Amino acid sequence: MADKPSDLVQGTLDMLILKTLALEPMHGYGISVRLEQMSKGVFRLNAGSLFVAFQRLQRDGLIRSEWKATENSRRAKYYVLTDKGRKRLNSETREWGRQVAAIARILEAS
Amino acid sequence: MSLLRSIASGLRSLFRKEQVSQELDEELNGFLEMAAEEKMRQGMSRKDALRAVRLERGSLEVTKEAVRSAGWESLLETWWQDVRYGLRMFRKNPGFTAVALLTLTLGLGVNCAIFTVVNAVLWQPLPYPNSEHLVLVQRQFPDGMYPATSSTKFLFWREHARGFEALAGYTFASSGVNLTGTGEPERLHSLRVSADFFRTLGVHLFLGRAFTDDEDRPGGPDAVVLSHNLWQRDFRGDSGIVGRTIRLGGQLCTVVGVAPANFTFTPAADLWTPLRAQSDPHDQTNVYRVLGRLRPEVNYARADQYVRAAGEEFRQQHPDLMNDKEAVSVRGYQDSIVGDVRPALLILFGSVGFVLLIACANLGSLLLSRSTVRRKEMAVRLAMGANRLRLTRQLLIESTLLGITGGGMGLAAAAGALPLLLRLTPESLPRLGEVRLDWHVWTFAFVAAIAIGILFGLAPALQGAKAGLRDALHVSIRGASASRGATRLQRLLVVGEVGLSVVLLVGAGLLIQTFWRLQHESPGFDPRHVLTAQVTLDNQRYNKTAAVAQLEDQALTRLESLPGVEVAATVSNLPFDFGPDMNFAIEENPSGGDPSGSTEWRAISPHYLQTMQIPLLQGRNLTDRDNASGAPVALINQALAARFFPGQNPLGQHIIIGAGAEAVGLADRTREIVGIVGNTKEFGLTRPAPETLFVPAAQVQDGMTAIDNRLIPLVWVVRTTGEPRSLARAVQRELLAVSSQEAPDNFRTMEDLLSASIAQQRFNMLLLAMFAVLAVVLGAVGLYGVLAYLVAQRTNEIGIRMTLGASRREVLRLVVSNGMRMTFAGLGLGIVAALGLTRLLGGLLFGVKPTDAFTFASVAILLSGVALLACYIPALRATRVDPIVALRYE
Repeated sequence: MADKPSDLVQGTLDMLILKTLALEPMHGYGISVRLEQMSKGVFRLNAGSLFVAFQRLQRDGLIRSEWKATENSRRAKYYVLTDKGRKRLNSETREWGRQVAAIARILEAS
Repeated sequence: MSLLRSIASGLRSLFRKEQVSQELDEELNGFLEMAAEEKMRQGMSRKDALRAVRLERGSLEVTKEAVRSAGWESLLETWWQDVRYGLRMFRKNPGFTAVALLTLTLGLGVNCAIFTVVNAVLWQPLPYPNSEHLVLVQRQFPDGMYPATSSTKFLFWREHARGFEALAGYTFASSGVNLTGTGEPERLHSLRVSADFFRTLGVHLFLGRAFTDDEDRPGGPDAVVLSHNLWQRDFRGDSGIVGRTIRLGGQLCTVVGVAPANFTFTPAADLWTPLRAQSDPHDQTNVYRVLGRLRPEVNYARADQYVRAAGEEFRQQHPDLMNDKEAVSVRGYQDSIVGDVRPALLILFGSVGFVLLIACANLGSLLLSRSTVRRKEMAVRLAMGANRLRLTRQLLIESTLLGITGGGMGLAAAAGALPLLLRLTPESLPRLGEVRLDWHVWTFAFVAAIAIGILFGLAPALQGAKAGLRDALHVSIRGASASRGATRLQRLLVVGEVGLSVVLLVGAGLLIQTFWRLQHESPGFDPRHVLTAQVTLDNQRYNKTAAVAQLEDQALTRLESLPGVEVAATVSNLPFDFGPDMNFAIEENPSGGDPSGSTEWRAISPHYLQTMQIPLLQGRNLTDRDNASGAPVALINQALAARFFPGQNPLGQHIIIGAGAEAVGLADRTREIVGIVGNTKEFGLTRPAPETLFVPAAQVQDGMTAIDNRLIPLVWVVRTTGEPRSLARAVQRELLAVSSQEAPDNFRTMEDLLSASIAQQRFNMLLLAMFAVLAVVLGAVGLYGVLAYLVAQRTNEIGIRMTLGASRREVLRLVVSNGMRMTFAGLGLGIVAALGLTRLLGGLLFGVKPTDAFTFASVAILLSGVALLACYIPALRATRVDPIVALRYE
């Protein structure tokens, strides 16, 4: 397992993308690099799941997109967190925290 | 919000596909480039870097596909793909498509057409607001309901029955009125209605008002409401008509209102006059119908209790006017109008449903054949990674497409056939004017089409997608590639088709026999070369018999001297028309038989028997001397003689007509029976000839003449030497010359009347025969199709058999017996089903039993013959198989 990037826990990819975008607007590649960096290489994302997630989040109104130039003056689509996305991120983070704590308690109890 | 956004974004993907796809391309390319640049910075060559990214991140094409298929719009797109694919398949198989569509068009076309009529006549509410609250209040006897009642009872019910918002009376029979003073005199249909008639129906007049209570009172001011049509036709839609007077039957009447254009009522009328019902215990003529509008909270059962109670009250107050057997009851108004035609229409609708089932079985069988042929295609598509669900869906979409296209074509066919159907429809069919192809029919066609597409496509679709990869590719179409399941299902479908055809054929056969028998049933008179015309004697002076007799005398003399006229007469009403019955008592009654009874009553001029060619069996015919000054005489028919004078000579005996009705001037003088005549089928060919009594018109009591003039038109009957219709103008001219204010109209030949009297039977027969023919053709096509297909499938096997020495004869027998086995199974099933179902036809049959062995045998022989033909052609083709070619056949 250690040398192979982990599969994401179902449903957490959306949350991680939102978290990444909470810092600043970012394009697709940037998001994937950021996710890998932050997870220290645990998550390596398949482009397919990443872009499907973008489309889903966009349709849910949690993020929006705009074409902008990158620092290397390449044209790229930047994703921006919306207010609704920010709220969702907060609530999901809280919920995640509660769940992790609960699971940890269960695991420690045995 | 997000749903809207999702829809908007999905629609954008659908309709701006190019742009969306370009954006995605650009974004993904950027992604690839950036990832590759990263790798190149670590020292990889560009080529290696791109490859590495693809390995790590997955192929861009797959990504694109994943993004594209994630949205809902992709589902639509694959559907659309399936639809286009299906259409392409249809184009590539024009033969299959044409047969399938033709079958469906025929099946759905006749169904839509019949549904249009059945729905409009039976199921749509009558064209009055809240028409479900309308009921008829009727007299009920142990043998059935009698819709007509007397004025006394009507007025009593109106006063005493609870639960009604309004209770209106109207006369069902009316002799009509003569409108004069607007040019030629014109005979119009009129209806006498009580003041609250329009209010009861919930109809607001187009102009003016309905009658007031004052106008509805005996002796009240004369008033008339015109129909919209009459107002347009005779008064050119003059909006100032209300308040003006018109001359009806010589009386001036004030027009008080005009009915709305879409107002219809049975019986149809050109104008309405006040009913003026009067409570008179002596007047027992039952000529009023009573229409009630229930309060919204009162249901039929409750209403029935209420009118029953009112009836009991009446019995207590007038025990002499209502005997123990009589009760009062309600009947839904719609039911009273369409109840009589419901069985026939429902049977036709059921039959046409059978035709549809046969068509569907054909479609299913065709699709099954195709699914077998397409196994290889399906196997290839499965091998290429299509999933079974998608294949099943694809096949279902194809069959549904067929269904919908067939439904559309069926609807178009129905629209084309409807005018023809309506021309066949007997005029007596109620609500015919309301029949139109509306959205109900569209819905019916659409739902039926989709249901058929799915139901009859499901088995073939499952069958097709089931195609096992290995054996489908392996066996390909060699040898017995048809799966056993598919073949068995096809055989079952054919058996079912034959069975359904049997039922329809038997039904049609029985109705054809019924009609044939009716046509050969003697009405008791000779209908050929007889012209009839009606005239309304609504002028006051004709309330005296002498005036009528004088008119008849003069007119008949003129008519009989017309070239081309053999003999002419009058009668109070013709056979098949509404006519009065009268009570009578036998004066002598020597043998103690039935001393009194009720009989059909006809007033005739002396030459009536000759004109109608009714045979005189005993005694003498009427002569010109049987007039007001002659001794009162009567003729009786055989039925009356047999019932009331069994074993005696009625001639010379005396009867009193109208005994007990002295008070209203209907009691007749004592009459001597001078002749016995043959029976005539006064109530129509299907019913036995009633007891009938004929009296000379010149000897009728004044009171009776007056009632007759109000209720029934006088009928002129002319026997001609040539084509009777050609004399209509001459007859009209002579009649107008004698009485210029009474317009003769309704010129019809006796043959027309006879034919109209069996129009319903003709309609039933024609339609069911048409459906049966359709069923047989479709069934034969189905049988032929399956056999032809099986032969094609077994070409290989047949080749082997022939190589091994089978003769052509044996091959022929093999195929034919294969088909005939299905036919006989279907015949057996069909006969059993028909034995059960033809009982429903009972009421529509005449002179033939529902289980008529001749009909069943003929159907079996006919169908076997057709089936043999359908089997023979594919069998013949099988014998032409060249063994060498067949074995190479791949």
